[in-house]
Amino acid sequence: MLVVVVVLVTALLPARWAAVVSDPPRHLLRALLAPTTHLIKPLADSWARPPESELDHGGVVQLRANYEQALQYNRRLEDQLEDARRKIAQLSQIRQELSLTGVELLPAAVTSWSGDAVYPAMTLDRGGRNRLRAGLVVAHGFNLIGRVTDAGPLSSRVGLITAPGTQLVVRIVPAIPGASPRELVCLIEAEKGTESFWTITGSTEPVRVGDLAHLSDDSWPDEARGLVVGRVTGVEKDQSDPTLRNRVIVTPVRQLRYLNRVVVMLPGAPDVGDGPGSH
Amino acid sequence: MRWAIFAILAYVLLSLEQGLRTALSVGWASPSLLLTLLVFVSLSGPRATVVWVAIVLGLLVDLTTPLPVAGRAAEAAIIGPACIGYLVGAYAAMQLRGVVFRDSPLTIAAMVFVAGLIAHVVIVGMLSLRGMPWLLAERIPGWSAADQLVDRFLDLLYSSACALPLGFVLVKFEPYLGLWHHPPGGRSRR
Repeated sequence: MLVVVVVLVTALLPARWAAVVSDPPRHLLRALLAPTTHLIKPLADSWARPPESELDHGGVVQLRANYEQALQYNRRLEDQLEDARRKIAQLSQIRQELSLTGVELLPAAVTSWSGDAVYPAMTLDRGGRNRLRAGLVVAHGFNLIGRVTDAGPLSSRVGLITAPGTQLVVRIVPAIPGASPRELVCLIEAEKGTESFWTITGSTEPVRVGDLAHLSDDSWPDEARGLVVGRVTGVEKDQSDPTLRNRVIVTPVRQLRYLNRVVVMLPGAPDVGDGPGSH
Repeated sequence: MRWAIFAILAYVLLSLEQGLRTALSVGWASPSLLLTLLVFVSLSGPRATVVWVAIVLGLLVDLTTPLPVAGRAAEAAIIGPACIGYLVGAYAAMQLRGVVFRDSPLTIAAMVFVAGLIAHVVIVGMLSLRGMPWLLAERIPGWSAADQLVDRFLDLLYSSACALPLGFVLVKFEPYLGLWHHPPGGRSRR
């Protein structure tokens, strides 16, 4: 009975006091779970991701079919190579825009994903002992992932940018360097259940599918500015005013739930010469 | 009940629940394996044991599902809602266990739905109380009771489906847990 009264009281404590009560056991539990979830999550991810196409070696007819398939596969690889070259050019451009002086990049493994539609978060295997604290920016390559919301001694939680209602000021520019110069600064908002952002723009605004949205939000730390929030995946007529307004959809380049490694940006550290390469 | 075995079982299920979430989730719905364990214990265990199991498992759920505070800039685990929710859900399962076949995975799946429904209504109700002006507890940013109920209902449907295979495993595991409750004067089990 006493226990029930105690949990009733703790359920209605102000958040600051609730954190004081719950943080030690929570961090301990997270540290205890980390070794097993760290092993299980990559296996689960490899299972959940769409499988790669595999070639089957059979009889002569089958071999011929496989040959045709291999040719198609080769053509696909060539396309991917071209795509990779374009991405390298994009990344060089992004790197020029990022201010990474005085920022230490700390790689961390993702041990679990919250699976919550309203408050999506991931758990990292680094914590206060690795100088992590609430508010630090987390990225994957040049893609913005979120911010550390809680740091225990051995692990930490990252609130993802795709949490419904998250608003970010972004600068939407062409993905290919050297393309016709156009730019739109706008506020995008994360939409529930879609893992994407939306905004309403004028129908004459220069936004096209494939453009990249870079963070340009003053409320975020300097080191986060310029990171890629997502790619424009849809520009469609707004239902309420189809002649004058467009609804622009921005989707993160990577599906955040399947990430296994990220990089935490620690400001105030010695200069680094390399970009935020993720693993 | 053998508490050491129970602790290992809870740890394994919680690790699987957290680690396999990307593989097991359908859209945003993901199953709760701990709820199945609670229902399984509630259907077979002595009342005092069930109460403690509900509090312990509820505490684990509370600690692993922190909520945002201070305008989403930080988060805090609020201990209590799931403890109370699971306690009420387990009580409902105990009230109904006399009229069901306890050894059947189908029963466990159905009871996961019933007990989980009650538990989640209590949890959402308690977290919604935090917005009341006469309480010290501040409102959770972005909190919507209706959205929560819909999301949790979908989770619950999925948890019930997952409770079928897991229930089968747990029933086989029962002798090691030492749960079988014998009330004075006869068999307790249908």
